[in-house]
Amino acid sequence: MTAGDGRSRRRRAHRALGYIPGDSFLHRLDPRTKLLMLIAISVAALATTSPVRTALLFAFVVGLAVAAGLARPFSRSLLFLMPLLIFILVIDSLFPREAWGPVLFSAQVGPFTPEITPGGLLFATAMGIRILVIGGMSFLFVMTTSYTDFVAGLRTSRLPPVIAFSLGYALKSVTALTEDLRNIMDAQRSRALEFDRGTIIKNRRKLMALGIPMTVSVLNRARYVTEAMQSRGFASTPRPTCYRPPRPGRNDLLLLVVLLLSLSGIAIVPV
Amino acid sequence: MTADAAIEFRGVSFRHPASRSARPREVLSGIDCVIGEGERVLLTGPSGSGKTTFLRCCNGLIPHARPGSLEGDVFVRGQNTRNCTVSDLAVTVGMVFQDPDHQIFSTDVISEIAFGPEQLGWSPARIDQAVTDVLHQFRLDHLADRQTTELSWGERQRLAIASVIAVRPSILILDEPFSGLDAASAAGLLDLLGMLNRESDMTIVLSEHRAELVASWASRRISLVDGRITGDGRPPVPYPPLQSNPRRRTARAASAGIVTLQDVTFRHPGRETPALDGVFLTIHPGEVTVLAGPNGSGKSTLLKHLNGLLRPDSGRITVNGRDTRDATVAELARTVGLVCQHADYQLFGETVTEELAFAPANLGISPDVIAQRIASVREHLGIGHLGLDLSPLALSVGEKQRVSIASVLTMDTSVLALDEPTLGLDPGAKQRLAVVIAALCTRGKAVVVATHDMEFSSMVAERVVRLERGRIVGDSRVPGEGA
Repeated sequence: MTAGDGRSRRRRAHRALGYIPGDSFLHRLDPRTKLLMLIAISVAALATTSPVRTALLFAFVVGLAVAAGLARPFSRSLLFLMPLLIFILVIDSLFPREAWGPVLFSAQVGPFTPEITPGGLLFATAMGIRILVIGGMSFLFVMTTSYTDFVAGLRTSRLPPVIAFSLGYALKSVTALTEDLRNIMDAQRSRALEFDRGTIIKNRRKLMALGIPMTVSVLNRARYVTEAMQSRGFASTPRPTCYRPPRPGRNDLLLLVVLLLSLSGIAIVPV
Repeated sequence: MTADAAIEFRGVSFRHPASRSARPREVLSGIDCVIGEGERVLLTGPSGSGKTTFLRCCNGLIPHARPGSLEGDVFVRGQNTRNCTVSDLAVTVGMVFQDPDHQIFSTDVISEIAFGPEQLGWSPARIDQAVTDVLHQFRLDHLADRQTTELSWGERQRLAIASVIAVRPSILILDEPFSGLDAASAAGLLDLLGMLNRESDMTIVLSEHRAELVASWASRRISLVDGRITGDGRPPVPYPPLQSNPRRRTARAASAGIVTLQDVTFRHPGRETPALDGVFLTIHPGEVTVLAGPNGSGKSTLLKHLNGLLRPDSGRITVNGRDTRDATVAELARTVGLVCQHADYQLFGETVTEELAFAPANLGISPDVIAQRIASVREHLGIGHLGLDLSPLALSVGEKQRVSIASVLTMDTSVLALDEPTLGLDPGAKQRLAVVIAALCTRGKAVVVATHDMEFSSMVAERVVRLERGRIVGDSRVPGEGA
């Protein structure tokens, strides 16, 4: 692999974290439908410790991504969960909340007694898949919901404008931050700072070179957006107009029915 | 309050709150000024002279949104800005910020334009009419369905102004609106501002370093230096032309290239059209190559290929004979120093010294040599007055830009690539930068500059490569003195 290949892969991965303009059925859904779906699937994943049920939930999320034509960016986005996934698999394998079967490994490490059992491994697997379900569904939401649509959805739900725009800004920041991070890394690389070798954590200067411009960028961006919104009359009337309010359609209803049936089906799967 | 005054400053001084890094000086000092209805005012002054602060006073961002102490009063059409919010003033004063990316926050063009009218509680039918009118007026009709992130810089600048105009303010404030615009886009924007002024008697106040663009358009020029009004001319004061590159220009077509691009094609992920399309180019030592072309033509993309930040999808780039695909960016940075467009993405040091020493230290250069280079660069770029222990984050836009350029100059690379280096620079700073570039070329360095600033281009260019839609459509050498 050449030096350039690694850079290109990281650049594509950075893009995967933000909103991807498109016209898929997920893009066209009312943002409130997608938010409801995200909450429902996350609650379902948190409510079960069955590896079969969490795997079925994950299959549902993957199905959504594939049907929306987002399989590739979706799979790239899951790479960002890998460090957390590995951490959870290791911790939950050694210190599972549910364990059964013969002890395959045991040790005494200070006050801790890690044990590996077949039941513990299955539990760890379920917890790992749970992360993929919640993280994957969140990424799908971010990839298919624009800031403008999200804010419009919240505003038509009669949420106060300040809260609606703040939540929308948080969503927008996911995209903006990845873009900023890329630009900052480009600027520092141009000054011969090597991110490609060694770990960032071990090098204070690398952290500073990324962290300070990122912090400045985040603070400045928030200030600029606030000033720009105020300068254009934000909250000058108590009930601002919503020019193009989202309207749930047949597809929203259809998807909610499919979601309900799927969750019901998964709930009755024997474990 | 003076009759027919759109804006009146009465004994206005402004001081930033004291901090460890901020300089203890007034940003504005004793400003008394009346701007009449329908005037076209050009605000000039060197970097850090207080132009942006002056403009922020006009729509109430100072004192309401920016921390600091304001003395005196600012009146906007008779209203004291202390007694009304920024949002209240938005109906009267439209504010266009220096960087469109700091202003545009919606994801699509129509939502961005509709934001102001929505906030004023206009009916959907009225908003619809306003959006249609503004799209047409600003020739943005073909972009109506586009995402804001897909627009070029020039298109974003037009959208930023259009979205402010949508609520039909009677006063328009613009902070360096021509920054980053090519000559044609800037001329088009100026025509539009003239039309707004004529048709609706709109008062327009704008700051601009490239005064040559606006000199004939403005009806009045106010000059600021160190926060004080030093000139208030009517008719506009003529502007002395900047000196062209003092170095004798010589043709270098026959010399060997230090960077070569062979049939380079590159497409940004997710984009349909290539950003670079079959580019052949050789960069020669001792020559200043200016990359010209409209917004979105591929200039910045080309520069990022020179030091390996981007790699071609097809074709080949060599730096000193080495294929960029076989080297890391850090390795290539030993030969190619790139100054990126936004200084804020680069600056992080606690002090100016730390910032200037960062890149050469990464190259393993000894502290003594670094200290010499810092002293030399500070002197030549005219940033000697900035304290070495000052935080770069506390500087003005123009000062940050110069520190950003200086922090790459200290690497002393064989190739220097500059992406829009004159953003925020005043004429004096531009002149100094041109002299530095000429001196580098005399020492055999190759300099590549991507810029829309035709004035600066004419000062430094020995060769002009014109890009359009990712393709080189022109490559000519500028006839030099004695050539």
